[in-house]
Amino acid sequence: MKPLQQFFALLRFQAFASPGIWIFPVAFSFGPCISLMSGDTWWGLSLPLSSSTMLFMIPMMIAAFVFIPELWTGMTGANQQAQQNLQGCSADFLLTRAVDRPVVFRARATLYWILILLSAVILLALASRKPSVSMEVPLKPPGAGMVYLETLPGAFVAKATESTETIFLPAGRLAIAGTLVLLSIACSAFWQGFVFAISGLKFKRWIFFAAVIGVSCSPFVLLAGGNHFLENLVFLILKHPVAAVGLTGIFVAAAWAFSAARAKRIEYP
Amino acid sequence: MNTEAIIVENITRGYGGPPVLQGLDFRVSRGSIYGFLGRNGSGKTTALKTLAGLIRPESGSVRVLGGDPWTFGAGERQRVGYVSEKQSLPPLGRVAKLVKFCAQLYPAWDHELCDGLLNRFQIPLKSRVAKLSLGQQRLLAFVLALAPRPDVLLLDEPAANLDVVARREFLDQILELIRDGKKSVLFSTHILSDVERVADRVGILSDGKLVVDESLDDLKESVRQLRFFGFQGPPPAEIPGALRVRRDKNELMAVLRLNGPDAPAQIAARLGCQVEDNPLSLEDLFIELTRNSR
Repeated sequence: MKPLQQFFALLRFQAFASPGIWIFPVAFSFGPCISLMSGDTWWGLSLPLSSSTMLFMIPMMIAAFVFIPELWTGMTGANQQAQQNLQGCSADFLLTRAVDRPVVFRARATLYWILILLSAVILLALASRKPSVSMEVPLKPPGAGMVYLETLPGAFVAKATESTETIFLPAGRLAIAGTLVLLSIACSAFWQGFVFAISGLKFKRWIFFAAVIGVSCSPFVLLAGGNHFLENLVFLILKHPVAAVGLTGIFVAAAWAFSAARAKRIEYP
Repeated sequence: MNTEAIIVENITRGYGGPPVLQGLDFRVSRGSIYGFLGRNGSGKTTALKTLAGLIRPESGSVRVLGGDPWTFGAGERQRVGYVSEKQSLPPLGRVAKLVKFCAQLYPAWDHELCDGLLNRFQIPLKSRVAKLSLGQQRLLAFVLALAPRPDVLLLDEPAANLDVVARREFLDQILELIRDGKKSVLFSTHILSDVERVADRVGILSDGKLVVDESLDDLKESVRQLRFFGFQGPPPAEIPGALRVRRDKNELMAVLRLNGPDAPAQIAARLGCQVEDNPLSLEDLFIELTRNSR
């Protein structure tokens, strides 16, 4: 069978062999969609970014399910059937069929990115239905609203009171959704590289779950430190969109190349 | 054409701790069935995974049908069937979909054989894999490995979870596969009667290397249980080269690997006693040869 035919056969098979993975894009976009679409007026970016942890965490889970389903083998607390369900298409089965190893990787990676991009499309499609939003910004400290006026195209001050001003952002919601999508793509590339980096290690399951716990705790750590890292990152992306897209593209390509090289060498003991 | 389907030369492999395989060496001829025996943790699965190209040996070389299985592409893999110890078939897919997926990867897929076996093993095509019993899942994995009529079939504990009838049919299929004399089967098992029924050569793995690699007939011929009796004085404490010696009053019961048919009489003459030669079953042989190993 030619590699292209193998690729489509593997992609089709993996996409439907474990239908549960299609829940991920919905789960992935659900939280960010709710927070992004709620309200016509925002008081800063806290609300639209409140569910952004999902953007970091769910690609990590998708990456583990798609690329290293063997991670769930022998998992404490799961019976054989549950483990089997989690494993989906394990390497034991797929790599011992009449397929080329690189084609298996390409099919898995394509499925992964379909799942990631599907959630991105859901987010962007919803945001494009109601792209505008108003931002109520306090007048103190002075110039607090400038960042919106400078970074979001078409932004203007619609109303000002003694203590606040209301900035209308004609494509504000869509722009924020776009930056979240870009960040989620960068995160997804990172997790793709991460699971391949740990996949040959003896304690990969522990490393993976430690990373899950770490990511789950990250919002609390950031809140405790009063950190506006994510907001600043969003503004930076909005300020330099072309560079951000370019860098994300390079990052995705690098993660793909790294994982393709690792996939050739990974053993399945 | 090379007469050896599998050549394993002095391979070593571990997982960070002590080596699981240390200097494993064996060959499987075309047209033969090789039974791979060993206690739990003796390295059978590691050896089979190496042959399936899922792991690489740290040293030594592995050749399956003349090539290194680690580098196999789709073309070479068409000729090698593999059923792993924990065959994880996609659980939520239906049997029919799984069969269709596999069939399209193999130009030589034998649809008649596949349908016939699924029918005989009573595996419903419409059922999801997860709904099948563990035995049926095992048989399904076996059918998927057998239907392309591979030149080499690697089976890791294939008969686990099978009932007696299914096991017998499975063994018959193995015999059927090699009938043309070109195909080879290597299977690991704990069910020694299966080995006795189908294998023409047996390898016993102990502490990561083979302690036995010979035909079943030769093995049964060479490893014997001898009863030494009628000693003039007290019997000796040990018999050189014996795998095990048990003293019972004025008798010695010893398990020995013999050099030839005259060996019992020669040993008895040396010890100054009489001897009774008792053949051992494969199970007894296996126990004697692996008793003090892992």
